[in-house]
Amino acid sequence: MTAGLLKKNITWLYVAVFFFAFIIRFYSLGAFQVYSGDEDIQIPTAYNYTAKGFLGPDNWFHPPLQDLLLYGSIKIFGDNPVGWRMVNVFFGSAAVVVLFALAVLVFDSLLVAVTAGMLLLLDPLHIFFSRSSMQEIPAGFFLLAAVYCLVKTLKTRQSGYLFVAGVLLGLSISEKWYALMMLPAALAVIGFDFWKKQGALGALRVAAYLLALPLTIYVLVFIPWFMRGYSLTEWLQFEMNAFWTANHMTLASFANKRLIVVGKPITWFFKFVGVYHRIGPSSYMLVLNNLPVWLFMPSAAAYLAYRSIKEKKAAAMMIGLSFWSIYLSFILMSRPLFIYSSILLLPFGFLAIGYGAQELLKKNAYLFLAVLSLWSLALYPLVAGIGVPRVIYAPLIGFLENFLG
Amino acid sequence: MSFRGKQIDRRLYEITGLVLLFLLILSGVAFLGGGSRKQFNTHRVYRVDKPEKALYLWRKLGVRGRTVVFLGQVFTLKELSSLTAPEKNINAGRSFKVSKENFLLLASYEKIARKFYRVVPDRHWARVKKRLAPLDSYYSNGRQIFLTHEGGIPIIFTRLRDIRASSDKALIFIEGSDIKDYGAAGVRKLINNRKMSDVVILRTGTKKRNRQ
Repeated sequence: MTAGLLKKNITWLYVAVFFFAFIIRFYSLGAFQVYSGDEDIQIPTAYNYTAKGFLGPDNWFHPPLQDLLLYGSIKIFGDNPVGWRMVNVFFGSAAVVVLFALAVLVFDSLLVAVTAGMLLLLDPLHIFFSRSSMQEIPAGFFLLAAVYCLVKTLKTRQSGYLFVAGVLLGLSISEKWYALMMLPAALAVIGFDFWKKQGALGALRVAAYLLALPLTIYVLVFIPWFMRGYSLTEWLQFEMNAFWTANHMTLASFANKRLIVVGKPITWFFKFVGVYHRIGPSSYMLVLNNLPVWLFMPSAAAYLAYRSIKEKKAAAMMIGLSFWSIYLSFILMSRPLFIYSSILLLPFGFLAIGYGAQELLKKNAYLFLAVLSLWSLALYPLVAGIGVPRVIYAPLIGFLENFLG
Repeated sequence: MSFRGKQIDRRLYEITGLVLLFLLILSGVAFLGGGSRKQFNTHRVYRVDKPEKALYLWRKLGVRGRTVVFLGQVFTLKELSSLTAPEKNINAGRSFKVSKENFLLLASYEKIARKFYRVVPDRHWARVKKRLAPLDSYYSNGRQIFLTHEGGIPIIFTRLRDIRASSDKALIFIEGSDIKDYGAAGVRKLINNRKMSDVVILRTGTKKRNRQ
C-alpha cells in the first residue's frame, strides 16, 4: 500500500498517532508524587538557571535548554509531577508522529511507517523516559524533526526547510551534544547533493544553514548565563572546560546513582541492560532495552545503509548514516554511557527495521510487527508503574529477574 | 542581469545573512555580559569582623557580575549536592542564614560573583595541585589550575605573583589572620593596587573604621 493512498487521510492519522502516544505516556504520570530519577537536581536547576543563570545542582556541563523548557512547563502546569514531566510527555509523543511522517516521506510506504511508528510508540525505554525529565527525549525529538526537514530539503530544494532544520539541530544540541555526531553525515549527504545540482555555492549555502544557525541557537540559550556578567572569551573557556569534564567523567562522578543503568553501547543490542524496582505490592518500575526488538536494529541499519548507498537514495542514506554516525561515536567514547543515551538512535533504528521487514519479510511483515508489538505492550504496565496480576506476570518477572538481577 | 545571475545573488545573500545573524547574536551576548557587570572607578578598603559580612557589603554597594580574588585558608564554595532537595532550589523562596560557609555561594547565586580566584600560598601550591588533580573538571596550564564548581562557576587556583590587573577589576577578600602565609609585602601591594580592584575587604576579627 503506497503513501499515495495515505495522503488523503494523513492529518487525522497523525492526530490519532499523537493521541495514542500521548495517552500511553501520560497515563498515571502523577503516580510518583516525589522526585524520581534526576528530578531532584533538574527541577531546582530549572528555577536556578532561568532566574539567575546558575547551572546547579544539575550537571553544569549539560547545555541548558532543558532548564528553560522545564521552567516553562512548571509555570504552565504547576510545580508538581505533571509540570516536571510534561515536556517529555509532549516531545516523546510528538517524536512518534514525526517518525511516522518521516517514514512516509522517505520510503513512501504505509508498512514501514506503521512498523517504525508502532515500535517507537510502544518501546519501553522511550515510554519510561517520556515520563521523566531527562534531556534525551526532547534532544531526540529535535534531531528527528531536523532529519525530517533535511529530507524535505532534498526533495523540495526549499530554503525554508533548511532553515528549520538548522534551528532544530540547534535546539537538539542545546539539549544534548549528541546531534553533533550526525552533523558531518548531514553535511556530507545534503551538501554533496546541493553541490551536484548547484555547485560550490549551493554546498556553501547548506554549510551556512547547518553550522551558523545551530551555533546561533546554542549561544542564545546561554543568555541567562551571560547575564551573570560573563564575556564571550569566558564562554569559550567554559565550553572547553565542559567538553573536557564531560569526556573525563567516570562512574564515580555521578552522584545520583539510583537510576544508573550502565551498559557499554556495544552491548545495547545484544543483551538485556536495565534495572527494575518493585514499587508496590504488584507494581514495578522497569528501565530496559527492548532486546527482542532491538536485536534486529544493527543488521537492519546496516542493510538500509547498504541499499541506500547502492541505489544512491540520499533520503534513505540520511537515516542509515544518522544511526551509524551516532552509534559509532557512542562506541568510541571513553566515558560511561547510560542506556538512555540510546534514545536518540531508536527512531532511525526502527525505520531501518521497518524497511528491512518490508524488503525481506514482505507479506509476513505485519505478523512480525504484531508479535513485537504484543511483547512491547506486555512490558508497558511494568514501565508505567501500573499494578499487574502477579499470576499472569510471574513468568515475565521471573525472566527479567534472571537477566537483570 | 540574467535569471541565473539572480539565483547566485540570492544564495550569497542567504549565506551572508546567516553569518551576519550569528555575528550579531555574538555581539549581542558580549554586550549583555559586559553590561551586566557593575564596578567603580574608586578604590576602597573595608574591614569586617566576620567573613559573611562581606556579602552584606557587596549587596549594599550593588556590585554585580564580578571576579572575586580570595586570600585565606578556608575557601568554601559549598557544594550544592550536599544540600537537601528543598535547599537546592535557592529561588524557591527559601532564605538562607548567611554564614562563613555559604556567603561565597550566595554571592555567586545573587550574580555578585561570576568567577573566583583562589590564591594559594606558594608553599602550599604543590599540595593543593595534587589534591585537586583527581577532580573531573581539573585542568592546569602550569601556572594556574582551572576548576568548575557544580553551579558552573569557574574557580581558578593561582599564586599571588600570577595575579594580573585588568580592566575587569576584582573584588578582593583577604582573611587577615592568614596574611603571613602569603607574605605581608605582597598582600600590601595587592591591597593598594588601584588598577587591580575597586573594593577590598579585609577580615580582621575586630570592627575598625573603614578607609578609602
